[in-house]
Amino acid sequence: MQAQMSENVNKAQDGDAEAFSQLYAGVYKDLYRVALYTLQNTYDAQDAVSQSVCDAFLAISKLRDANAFKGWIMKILYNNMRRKLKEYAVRNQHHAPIELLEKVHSPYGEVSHDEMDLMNAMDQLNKLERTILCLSVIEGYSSMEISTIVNIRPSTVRSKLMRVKQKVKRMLGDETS
Amino acid sequence: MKFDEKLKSVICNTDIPDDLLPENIQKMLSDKKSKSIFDNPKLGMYVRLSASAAVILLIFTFFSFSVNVNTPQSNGKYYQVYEAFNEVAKYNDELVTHDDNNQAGHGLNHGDSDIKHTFGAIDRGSYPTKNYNAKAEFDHYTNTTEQVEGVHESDIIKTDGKYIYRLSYQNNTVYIIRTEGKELYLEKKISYKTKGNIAEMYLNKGKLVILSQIQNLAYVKHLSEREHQYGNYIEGKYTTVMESYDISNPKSPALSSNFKQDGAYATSRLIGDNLYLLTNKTISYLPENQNKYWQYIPYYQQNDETKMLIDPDNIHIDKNSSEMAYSILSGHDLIREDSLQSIHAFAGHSGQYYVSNDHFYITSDVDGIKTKITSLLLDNGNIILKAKGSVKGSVRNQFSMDQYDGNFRIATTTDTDKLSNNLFILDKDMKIMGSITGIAKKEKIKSVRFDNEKAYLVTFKIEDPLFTIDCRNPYKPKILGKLRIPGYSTYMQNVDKKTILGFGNTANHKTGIANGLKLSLFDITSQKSPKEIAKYEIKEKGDEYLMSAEEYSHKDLMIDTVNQLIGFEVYDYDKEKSTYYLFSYGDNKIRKLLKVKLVTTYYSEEISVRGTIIDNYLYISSDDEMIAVNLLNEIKENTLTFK
Repeated sequence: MQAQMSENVNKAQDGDAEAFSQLYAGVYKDLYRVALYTLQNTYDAQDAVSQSVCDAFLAISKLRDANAFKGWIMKILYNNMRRKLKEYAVRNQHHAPIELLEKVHSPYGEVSHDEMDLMNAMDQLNKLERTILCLSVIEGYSSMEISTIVNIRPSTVRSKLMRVKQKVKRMLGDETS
Repeated sequence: MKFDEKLKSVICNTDIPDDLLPENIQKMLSDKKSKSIFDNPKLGMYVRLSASAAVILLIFTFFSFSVNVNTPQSNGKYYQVYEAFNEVAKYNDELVTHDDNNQAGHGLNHGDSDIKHTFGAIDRGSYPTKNYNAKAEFDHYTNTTEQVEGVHESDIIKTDGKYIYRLSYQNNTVYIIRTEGKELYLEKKISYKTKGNIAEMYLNKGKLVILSQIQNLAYVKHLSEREHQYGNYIEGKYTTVMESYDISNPKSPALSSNFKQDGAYATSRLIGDNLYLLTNKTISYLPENQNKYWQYIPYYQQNDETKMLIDPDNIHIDKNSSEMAYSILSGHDLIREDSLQSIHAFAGHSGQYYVSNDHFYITSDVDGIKTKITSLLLDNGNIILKAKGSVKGSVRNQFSMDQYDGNFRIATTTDTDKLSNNLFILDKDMKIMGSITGIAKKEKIKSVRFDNEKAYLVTFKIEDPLFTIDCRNPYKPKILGKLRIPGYSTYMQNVDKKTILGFGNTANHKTGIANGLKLSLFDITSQKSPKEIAKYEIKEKGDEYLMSAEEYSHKDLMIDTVNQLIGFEVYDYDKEKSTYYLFSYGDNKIRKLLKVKLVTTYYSEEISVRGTIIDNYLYISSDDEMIAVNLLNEIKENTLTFK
C-alpha cells in the first residue's frame, strides 16, 4: 500500500496524470467535504478543490515524503480556501447556507431530522471551527495533522476542537452526548 | 449514535460533484498536459478561457500592464535575479510539510477543564467610579498602542482628539466621526466598495493615509462558471495601495496622491513625515524567457503614472535564496505629492519586523530553525541596506526585538529538537556580541519587553516564569531572577521604573490550558526576585469559551499611559457575545472600571473592537457601531450605528 503510494508519487512527479489521480482518489472525498463545509457553497468548494488539484499536480515535485501526500494536498486546499475567504471579505459576501441545505435534501443525500439539526448547528460555527471539526471527524486527521494544515498549534487545535464540539452539542440540546 | 459518528455520517453523506471524480480529474490533467498549457503558459499564467466579462477585463489589464511597464536599460542584474529564482524553482522544498512534533503543549490532557480553582487577593466585587482619576483633563486622547516612541503604527482607528477615523472591514469603509463629548456626528464616509480591501490607516498633519490591498484574481474565479481551462497563476496577485487624503476639512476629504506597490500588505511605520511600506510578493511562476521581467520583477506606480520595475540595483537577491519571493520596502515623504523616496526588494518572504527611529529590521523564519535578519538604515524616506545576519530559533513578534545603544537585541525560541529560548545581542554589522541560550527548556516565549538595559521575558508551559535579564554588558547578558505564577502574559507594558503590566491568559495550574484572560502587575524593584503584586482574572465560567490572549495584538489593547488605563474586547465564542472591559492599573492595583456589552455581528479573524479615550469619554467602536461612554458617571450615553 505504502509502496504503491511511493511509486505513484514518483510517477506523478514525472508528470504522470494517472498516478496522480490514483493518489487523488484516496483523498478527494475528504478534500471536497472539508471545502464544502468550510466554504458552504458547492461552486466554491468544487472550484477550490480543482484549483488545489492543479496546484498540487504542478508542485508535487517538491513533495519529498510520499506519506505526507494527504496532509500536503489538504494544506494546499486550506490555503486556497483562505484565499477564497479573503475574497468573501473583499466582496462583503456572506454565503447563506441555503445551498448546502438544499444539497442535503437532494435525492443523493437524504438525512434525518437529527442530522438536519446538526447541519444547522454547524452553520453557526465560524469557518476555522468548521474546518477543524470536519478534519477531525473525518478519519485520519490528528490534531497534529490539523495543526500543520491550518497552521495553528496542536494544543490550540485540541482545545478549539473540544470547545467546538461542546458548542455544537449544546446547540443540539445535548441529546447526542 | 455518538456525536462524532453522527457528525461524520452527515459530512460523509455529501455527494461529490462528477467533475471531481478521480477519472475526470485525470482527464483534466492529461488534457492540460497535451495542450501544453503547463509547459508554455501564455503570459506566464494559465488563462481560463471563459466568456465572462471579468476574465476579459483581467486579460486586458494584464496586457496593458505588460505594455506600459517601464523597463530600465541596465537589466544585467535582473538576469541574476532570474538565475537565483531558477535555482529555487528547481530545488524548492517550501511546500513539503514539515515535522511539527516538537510543538509546545504536546501531550497535555485537554479533556481536563478544572476551572473551579480560584485565586484570592483581588477585590472583584466593587466597581467604584472613583477609580477613574483623570490626570489629564484637557486635550487628552489615546491612539494606537505602539512599540517604539515616535515610530507610529497603522491601525483600523485613528484620532486627532476631535475626529475619529474608523474602518469597518465589513463595509470596507472609513467613517469620519466628529466627537463632542457624548455627541457623535458622522461627517463623512470614504467607501472602498469599488476598490480594494482597506487594511489600515495613518493620520498625519491633516492627511489621512489609507492602506488597502487589491487582489487581482478574486473576481475571475467567482464570475467564471465551470470551465476548467484553468487560470490560477498570475504574477502580482496582490497590490498594496497607499492613498493620501487631504482632510483639512474632514467633511470633504480629497484624494491627493496614491501609490501602488506590488505584493501583499505586510507592515508599515510612520516616522515623522516618512512612511515606510512593506509588502511581500511570491512569484508562483518563473517565465521561460528571462526577458519577461514584469513576470518576476516587482513593480510600483506613483499617481497612476507609468508602472515602474524596481531598479536592478535595488533588488537584493542572495544566490542561496530558498524561495521565489520578495519583501518589498518603500520609503515615502508624505509632504510631497510624489511621495516615493526609495524602493527596494529583498530576497525571501518576511515575517516579523522591528522598526526603531532609524532602522528597519526585516526578519524571515527559516523552517523554525533560524531567523534571518536584514538591517536597513532609514534616512528621511531613503533606505540603505546595512547588514545581514542570522540567529537560531524563531521570533514570536515585534516585541521580541529591540534596538538599544546601536545594538540589536532579539529573543527567539528554538523548537527543533528540544524546546528552549535564547536572547542575542548583535552589533550594527549583525554580528553576535553576546547571548544567553537554553533559557527555560521545554517552554516557549510568550512575551518579551526590553527596557533600556533590562529585558523581561515570559516563557510558558504550565506556569509562567517571568525572567529578568540584565543586558548592561552586551557581550555578557545574564539572567537576574525569575518569578513563577499560573498563567502567562502575552503582552507586557512598562508602567514605571518599578512596575510592569502584563496582559495574558490564566491557565489551569495542573495542565497549563488557558481558561480566561488575566492582567498582572509585576514589581520589578528587585530584579532578582520580581513579584506579582496585583492581578485580575476574567475566568471562563461553565462552558464559556473566551478569546485567548494569544489572539490579541498590541493594537487590540487600548493603553492610556497618562491615566493608567487599559481596555480591550473580550469575546465569548460560545455565546458569540462581545464585551469591552476597562481597567485602571495605577497605584499598584488593578481595578475593573467598566464592562460594556457590544453588538457585533461581524466575525473576522482579527479583533476589530477598539477603545479610544478623548478627554472624559471612552468611545468603543466595533465594525458595526460606536458607543460613547462617559467615564465620570460610567453611563453609556450614545450609540452611532455604521451603515
